[in-house]
Amino acid sequence: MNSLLLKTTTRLSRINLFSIPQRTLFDVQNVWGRTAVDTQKPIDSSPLAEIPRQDESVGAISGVPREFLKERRCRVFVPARNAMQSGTNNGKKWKVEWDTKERWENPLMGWASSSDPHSSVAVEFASKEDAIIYCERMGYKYEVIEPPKIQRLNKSYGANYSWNKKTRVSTK
Amino acid sequence: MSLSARIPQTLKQVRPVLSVDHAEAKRRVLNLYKIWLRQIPYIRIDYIKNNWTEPRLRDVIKENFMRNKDVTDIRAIDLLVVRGQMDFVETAEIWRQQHNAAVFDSTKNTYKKKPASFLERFYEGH
Amino acid sequence: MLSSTVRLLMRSGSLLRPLIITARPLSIKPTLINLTEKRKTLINEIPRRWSHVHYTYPMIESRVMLILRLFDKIDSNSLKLDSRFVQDLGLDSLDIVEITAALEDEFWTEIPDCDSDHFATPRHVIQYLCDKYDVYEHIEPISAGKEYLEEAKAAADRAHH
Repeated sequence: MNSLLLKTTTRLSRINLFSIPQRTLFDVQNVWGRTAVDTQKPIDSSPLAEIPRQDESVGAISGVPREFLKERRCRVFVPARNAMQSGTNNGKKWKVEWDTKERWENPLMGWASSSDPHSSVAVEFASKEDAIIYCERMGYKYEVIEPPKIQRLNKSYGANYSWNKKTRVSTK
Repeated sequence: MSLSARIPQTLKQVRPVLSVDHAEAKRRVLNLYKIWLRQIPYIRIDYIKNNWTEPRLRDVIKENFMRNKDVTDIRAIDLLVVRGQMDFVETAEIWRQQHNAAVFDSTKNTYKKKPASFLERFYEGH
Repeated sequence: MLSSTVRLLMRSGSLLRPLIITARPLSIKPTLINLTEKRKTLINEIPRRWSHVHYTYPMIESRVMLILRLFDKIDSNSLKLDSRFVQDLGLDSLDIVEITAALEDEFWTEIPDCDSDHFATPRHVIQYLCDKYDVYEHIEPISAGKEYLEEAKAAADRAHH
């Protein structure tokens, strides 16, 4: 197999300029004229910075209006199972929703108007920690609502005949 | 509720956007502030139909910078500086229009304030 | 006559600044003009705006303190040579940038950011400008020889006794 030699040009610069790997004669080209080198990410040899984990913030640059970040509160919760159905997959994700604001009847059509951009926004996550990291990074105030522990009764067929008369079934 | 209450302070290795530490980020911020200050007399000339004075423009620029003073993430600071520089280029090249230049007006709300107390909200109808 | 000498001076390649005719004096090095005796005397009598400015310590100090006193956020009563900008006068780094810009305007010079980072008191600012303009009349000369001689004498005495 041809070895793919990566010839890199590292430029010394104060700004973190990526060094783009360049093609050499030994790079294998595919039918479209591309080599593996072309599709690789540029080599970033800039020194890593260290920041405290809780300093990570995205809210200031996210474009969310400042009042929203300061005044609104989020709920981090597990949505309840739809009581009219027996599917339980909804209960395996975490959601972040914002506090509800006023809705009023639209004078034209009678629809529900709202002045709140977050009125029907819900962000879904796979785990509680992910949701919390999102709220922390964006800078929202949040509260976590733990899902209730579902008590499952472990039933068995032998209970129909058990010594405990309560679980016996009279027809057996 | 903050993360620092839950997780002990750990350092995270991140790939920097532009600056590697806070000192460099500070230098960028101060440089940006200086070029905005130097542009003030030209802002007054370029954008017509305004009643801006130089002290007022200085206050507006200072306020815009102080709005982000609590950001501690170096990458966020760099991105904010880049955005400020983009705004500066737009202002200096007169790509802004009149409504856009209204960003130099006072940032305090000049029209009706949002009701704060219970009674004020009651009178509004909420 | 004056205009021709002005033109000759302009054609010389040693101008340090763009020629802006204001009341401020500019510093221009003596040039490569081929002058007759008559022309030389005329150049000596050229008005002050072509002459070399003599920077002195009192002049720099008074100008710097004036600029600082004119600044809104500084309380003129509590402003002293050694009052620190951040701790005593309650300024922050953005205000120091503003002060630096004002000083640049006053002294018609550029002060790079790496230097203005180190401005902590007015004394530092004045010292920086003195270094820039080679003003050292306020500095006590170090007589290194005198102290060394005294130490050497003391050491010699100790050795002998």
